[in-house]
Amino acid sequence: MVRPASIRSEKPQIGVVVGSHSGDQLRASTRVEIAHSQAPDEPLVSQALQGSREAFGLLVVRYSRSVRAVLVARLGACDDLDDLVQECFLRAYRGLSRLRTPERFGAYLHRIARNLAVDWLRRGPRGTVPLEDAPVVLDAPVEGLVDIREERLARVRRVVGRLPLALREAVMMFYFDRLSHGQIAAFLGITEGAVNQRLHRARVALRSALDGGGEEGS
Amino acid sequence: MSEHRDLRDALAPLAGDPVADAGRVLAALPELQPAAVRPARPMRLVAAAAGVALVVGAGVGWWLGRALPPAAPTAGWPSPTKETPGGRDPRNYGFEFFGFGTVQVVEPGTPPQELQNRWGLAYGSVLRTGKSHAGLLLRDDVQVRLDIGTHAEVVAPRSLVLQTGQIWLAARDAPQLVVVKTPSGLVDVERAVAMIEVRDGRVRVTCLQGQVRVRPRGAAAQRLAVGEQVAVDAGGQQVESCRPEFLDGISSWMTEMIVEQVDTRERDQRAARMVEAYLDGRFRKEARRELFRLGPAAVPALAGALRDHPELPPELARETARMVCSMATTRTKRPLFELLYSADPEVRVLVARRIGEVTDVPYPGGVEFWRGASDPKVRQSAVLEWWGRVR
Repeated sequence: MVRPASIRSEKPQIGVVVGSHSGDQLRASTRVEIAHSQAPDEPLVSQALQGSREAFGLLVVRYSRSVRAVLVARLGACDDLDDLVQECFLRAYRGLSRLRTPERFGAYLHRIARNLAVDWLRRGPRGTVPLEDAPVVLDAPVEGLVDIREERLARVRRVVGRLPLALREAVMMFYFDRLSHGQIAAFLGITEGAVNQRLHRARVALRSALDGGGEEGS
Repeated sequence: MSEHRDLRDALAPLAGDPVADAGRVLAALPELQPAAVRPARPMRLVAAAAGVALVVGAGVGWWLGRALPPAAPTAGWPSPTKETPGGRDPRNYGFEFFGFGTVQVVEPGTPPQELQNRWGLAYGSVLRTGKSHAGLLLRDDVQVRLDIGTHAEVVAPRSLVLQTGQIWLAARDAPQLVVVKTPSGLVDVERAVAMIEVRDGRVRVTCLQGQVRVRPRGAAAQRLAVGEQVAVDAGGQQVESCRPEFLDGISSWMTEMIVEQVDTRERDQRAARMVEAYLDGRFRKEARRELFRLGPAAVPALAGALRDHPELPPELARETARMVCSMATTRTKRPLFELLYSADPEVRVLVARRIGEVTDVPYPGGVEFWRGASDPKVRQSAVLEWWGRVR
């Protein structure tokens, strides 16, 4: 099939990582939208209310890691995590019309995720994996250092798992999604200063535990 | 090694894949009543009635559900065939091509053509990149990147021929191995990432992730672990075996493509690794060069490192601040503002000057104000005031 030169258009907007042939239509269709993910939530929420699945898909892409962070902070690496993330967004979709302040969609999702976690815990723990047993994938492990590194990361997760919930949640959001302090503050409904303080306290706790081996006996 | 990196590495495996999450959510949406998302008071009353009815009995609830008004039509996802350039669905016939510049492509049965954007191509296509780069997406999310001066053929979903040039091949989740044929033999990539280079009759293979098998012509096969590199001559004889010290350095030719990708994860991860290497010092020169290649995309990671490492030696901190300033644009001004909280007056002055340049909104007190702003409270109120003017 020969394409005339005139069909050639602007420089490519899409990289090879995002696409998929696996039948997942979202990967084929949200890539362009993801490029504009700096857009505010409000218009996306209104479009979703008008029936736009694309807009809601973009909101899912934007917030799924934050929701996951809230769930992991409360439940650890449980088997049902994917289902819970999905249920969180479905609940959000069902209740979207009741959202009075669309610009606070993040905080709205946070409440739903929190309630979901509480419901899940009420039903009794099933298939929960402590943080330290979660799988590790290193970017570029160096032979011989892998065991040491894995051991250290397991210790880090153990320390994070023992942090107070508020600190754990902030840490998860920051390191899952590389969100700014302002974005985390908006999602959690707290001030940027509080986020900063929580992250600082978490790092201090981590440093103290790792340097002094404090987490071993606790 | 900083707790910053420890936390990132320790928690990253739990972060999930937002695109996959969205796929699952959207797949479940059609089962919902779209009308439920439309604000309408009567609907809420009906829903409440339906809730009560559920308590009374499933039969009544079912009846109330039937009584709801029909669902309003919703906009569906564009069909894959409409999305695919040329109106062809790559799932049925071929693979996706992304040109980063003009690439000569010969599809089976067609004359050569020059492509420079996204297309669906048939298997059997031969590509010559010339002075451009190209990306390919094959079945099972196998990704291939082609360096400049590469001549390659995509024979089948799991079979490529590399005549000359260099490719990066990632088959992380492919259920079967992908075979690359070179003039010196075959390279098997299964659930792994590899770099393969053919120059002057010599083939060089580097394993970047997983395990890669090299099968030189007329010689025994060899397995490469992560970080290992082997070179084989045209006769299949191994001429070199080493372990590159700075593994990211050999993939620097891909940076342009990584920066242009819509999915920013790889770019951000690369920036974070380069910042680590830069601060570590062993490969500072190489990391610095790579950070400049990443350009504005590296600004948040670099500025974050400055913010999170107040213990850095002043010279290194200022050099880092100079890098941040030289790369920052108006779109990356936020990390610059965070650096105004720095305790180092030189860093503050550098940053204040750059913010004035990129935003065209200088601080009313002038750049020199920041040199003397030793009180953190004064700095904070000045930062907030300035941020309010430019945001």
